[in-house]
Amino acid sequence: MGRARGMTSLIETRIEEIRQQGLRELQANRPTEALALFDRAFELGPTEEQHEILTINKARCLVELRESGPAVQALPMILMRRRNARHAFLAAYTLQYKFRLEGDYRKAAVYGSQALTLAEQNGGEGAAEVLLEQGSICVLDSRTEEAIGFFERALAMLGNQPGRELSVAIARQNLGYSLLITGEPARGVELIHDALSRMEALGADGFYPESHIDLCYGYLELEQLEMARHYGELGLAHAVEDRQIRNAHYLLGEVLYKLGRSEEARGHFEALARYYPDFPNLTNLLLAFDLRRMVNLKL
Amino acid sequence: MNRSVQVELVGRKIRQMRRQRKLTQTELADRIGINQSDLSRMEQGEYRVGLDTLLKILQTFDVGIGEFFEERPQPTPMDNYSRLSPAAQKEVDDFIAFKRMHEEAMLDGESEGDDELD
Repeated sequence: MGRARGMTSLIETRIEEIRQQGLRELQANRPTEALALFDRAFELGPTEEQHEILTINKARCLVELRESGPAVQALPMILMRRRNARHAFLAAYTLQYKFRLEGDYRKAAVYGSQALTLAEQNGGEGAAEVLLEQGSICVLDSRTEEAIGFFERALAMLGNQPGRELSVAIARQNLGYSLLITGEPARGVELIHDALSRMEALGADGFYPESHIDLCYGYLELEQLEMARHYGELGLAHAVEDRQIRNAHYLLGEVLYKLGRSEEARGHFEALARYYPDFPNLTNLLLAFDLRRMVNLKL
Repeated sequence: MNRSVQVELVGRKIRQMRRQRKLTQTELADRIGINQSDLSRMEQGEYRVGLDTLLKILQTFDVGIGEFFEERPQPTPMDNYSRLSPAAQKEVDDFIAFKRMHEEAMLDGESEGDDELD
């Protein structure tokens, strides 16, 4: 009997080790590798408690991979059942993230609100990350002033806690961008520079292109065109997402147009227009009109 | 809520064109792939869309760009001057000074000629 219990305990420990390995892969932005590890942990016969947390972890991987499956479908049930407060929080947070990626900002905000309540009931752990997500959802949904409130709350909550430096940098970056959009470009640029320095100190190079492109936008708003050009070119050189490449071309086109370099501006607008083959007049449209105030660059 | 005049103008234009084509907000929103409530906010100048959505709206209405936006104003000579580097501005200043001297010399020449005629 004792031997069997010991064996069970060993299996539980092994499952938790594999789960932790999976979480590390997930944090390192390797969801496919993480998914394989969570599946291996499932095969070892987890307890009910472990089964639930593994389901949430697996769902997060699938969401990252823009896939669905039974694990993702189980999240609302885990949230409703609330057999474990921490699991319920994680389910709500994952659903908030899922709907944000899918562009359903209303549902994302509803799950975010539930996640925030649960985080606060659990002593506040994870609340700052939920606030950051809520802020990003507001930016995408053109509710930038609400976004500012969320980012400021997240920053107040994060303070100078050790181990949260990247979250602080991201919050400052997002707050800076929101200020650019709401007519405070000087304060916005200052915050983004500060965020970029923090990211550089952490070696978080995946975040640099977004900061560079936001700085290009900010300096363009401030009419500091050579600075705008500098950061636009940096952003373009390191951009990884299509959206970032498109934004860098668009903003550089605007900057160069304002610098009186129409031909170079045309080159960037033509590069952007290649993403929209169904709209042959886009280059001319961009040369004729400044769309900055009409378009949400985060979409 | 942050509003910009341009977004408000475009919003009004979208509402006007939608009504001219006898489309409901839901019908237009379906065609361009956004929520009806977002289109409603866009028409009120409260919602900024992605570039692809803006382009879809233009395609759906099949309108020329000139109908939609106000033309970018042509830069004035002062705008062109202010976009130059300080060194280039100095060259322009020197050229203007040279042109002034040249014109003054021409005027002097003309008045000397006048003297000769006297």
